[in-house]
Amino acid sequence: MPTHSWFELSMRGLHVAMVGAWLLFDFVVYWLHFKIKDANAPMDERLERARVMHGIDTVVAYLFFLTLPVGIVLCWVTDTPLFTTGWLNWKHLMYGLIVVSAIVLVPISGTSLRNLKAIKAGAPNVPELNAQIKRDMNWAMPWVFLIWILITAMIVISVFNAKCPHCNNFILR
Amino acid sequence: MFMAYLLWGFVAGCGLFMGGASAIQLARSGFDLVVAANAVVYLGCAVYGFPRLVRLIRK
Repeated sequence: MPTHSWFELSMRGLHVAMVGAWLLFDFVVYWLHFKIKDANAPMDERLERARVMHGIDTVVAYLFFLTLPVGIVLCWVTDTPLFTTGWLNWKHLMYGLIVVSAIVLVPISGTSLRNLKAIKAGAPNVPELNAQIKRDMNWAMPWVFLIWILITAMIVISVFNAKCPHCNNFILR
Repeated sequence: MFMAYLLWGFVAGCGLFMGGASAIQLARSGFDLVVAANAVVYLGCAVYGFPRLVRLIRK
């Protein structure tokens, strides 16, 4: 196999793995958030989960940032100029909408860990801090669901438009 | 702090790059609804993100 194909194959694999990991880690964050916003759950458990969630969120952010450059390199390797292919235009648009969702989610991303640390340190306004955690997490949910829908749609579009690098035929059509 | 730089740098940079590329494609090949939507979304991100990046750098 020529070097070019190995590089292309590696970039494809990396691109797929990154999107898969992104979606998987998003599900883990979703699962963790239930206990964090539950004011009746033990404090230490909530704080521990918030720390884990914050760490996973950071990994998700890096995956989100790196998916686009890897995709652009893939376009370059396969001689596909940006915005010249119908299905790729849709994928780019969906990624753009994910960027918009990320902008909405950024201001509320650190609320839970910050507030839980404040509660642990003995802040007097515990009900207010707990209400803020719950409110911010509930506000984030529609945007998180939108991101999942968009990522899933992008995966489906990509899978059904994937071509064999050798014969140039669609693999799943 | 690094994450804030990365985020706003990414929003402004990716918005400018992708928005610019889609705008160039529109100018070259004529109007296409999806490409135009790309240009609006990405250039909107660049317009929104760039002042925040500048404010962050100046802080």
